[in-house]
Amino acid sequence: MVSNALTADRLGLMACHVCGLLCRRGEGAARCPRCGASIHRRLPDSLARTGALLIAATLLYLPANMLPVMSVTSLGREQADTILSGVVHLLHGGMWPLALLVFVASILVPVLKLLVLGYLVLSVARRSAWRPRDRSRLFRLVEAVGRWSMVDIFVVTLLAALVQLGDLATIQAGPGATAFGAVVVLTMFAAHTFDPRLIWDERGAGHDSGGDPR
Amino acid sequence: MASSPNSLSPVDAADEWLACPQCDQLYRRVPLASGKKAVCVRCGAVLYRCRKRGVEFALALCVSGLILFGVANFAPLLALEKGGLIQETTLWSGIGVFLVRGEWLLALLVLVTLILFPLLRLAGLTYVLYPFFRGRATAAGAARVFRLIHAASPWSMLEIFLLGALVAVVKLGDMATVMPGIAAYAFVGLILVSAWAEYVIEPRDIWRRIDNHG
Ligand SMILES: [Zn+2]
Ligand SMILES: [Zn+2]
Repeated sequence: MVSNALTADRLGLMACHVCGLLCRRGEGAARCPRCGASIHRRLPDSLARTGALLIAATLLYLPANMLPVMSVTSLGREQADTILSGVVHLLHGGMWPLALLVFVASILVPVLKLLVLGYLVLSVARRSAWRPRDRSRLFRLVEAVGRWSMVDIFVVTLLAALVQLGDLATIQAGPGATAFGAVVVLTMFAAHTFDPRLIWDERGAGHDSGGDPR
Repeated sequence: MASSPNSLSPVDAADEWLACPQCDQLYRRVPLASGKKAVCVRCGAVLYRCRKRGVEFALALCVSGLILFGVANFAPLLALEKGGLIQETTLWSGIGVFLVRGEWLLALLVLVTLILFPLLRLAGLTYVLYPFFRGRATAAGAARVFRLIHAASPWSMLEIFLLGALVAVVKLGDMATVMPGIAAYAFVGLILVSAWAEYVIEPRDIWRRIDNHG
């Protein structure tokens, strides 16, 4: 099925990544005649770029989880929370729906995103023909869900902006928040640079680096 | 590699053909019933949707969105009351808190995802749609503006901010009293209007109109 499909590429055409206009494949760098975006057969260096962004995100994932994202100073007592200890506090406070939400958005989704994108990059690099439709679905899922990880950053933003009551109570963002924000941004970029069409390209079609026009 | 940029030409009757953005499968465009969408048989991605609401409806949504955006930005968002002390916050004061503490990455993230890109989207759509509404030729640079909107839309995170605000308010519940300000209601309205505009506007239709007029 994969090899019989009538793709734009087989007919020597390229679709613009932005506006979808179908163009005849030229040589070298080119721009879309309709929207002006640079146009490629496949996103350039897709696997290398996505891979590099994933590695950077994985490295930052450690400080994001080990450093405090937020510290509360109340009546001279300071308490710093990491993402995980924040979830535990919510659980102890009996707010388990909220704990579940923060756990999914801040812990589960980033890990899944790193794993899924990492798997997709490897599967394309190894020219796997295994269930391309399901891999396409996985990609759409992480692409759609990834931005929701930002929810914790907004919680910290609001708390730090709101709770500025001097000695009574003050909330500050911690270094973990910056690292976590960077993880979310990097994984979003990683999803943008991954070209899902590579999943479907014929095996041995010479697309391992995202490909120049032949 | 000898040819110059801008050497590409669209295929004949490019409007009638499209390639799946996620697997490159080629399709001939068929008219759809209102509210229906075309889905790729190979990978399951949505190809295009049919939206029967006219330009004036989308434009009305964008303009109301712009008004709500103004209120959401400059009116008080939340007020915190503890021990007789009342602290009011706007979106901008939250960014100010980060800047004062030198957390510029967080400040930038909030500025971009909650202010710049949502504004760019609403103002840009208004700019592109208005000439269509008046039956005039395409606005100058409409293709560039619409391309920018395409790139910015995943980074516009109003709805995620709303979820974060709910979490923050619940977290503060046992510590202080939180009262929503005018901006909080404006925010909810803004999110609804933006989501509705996103639902009503089919980017491929706008691209075709830009092309035919330009
Ligand atoms: Zn284009
Ligand atoms: Zn497809």
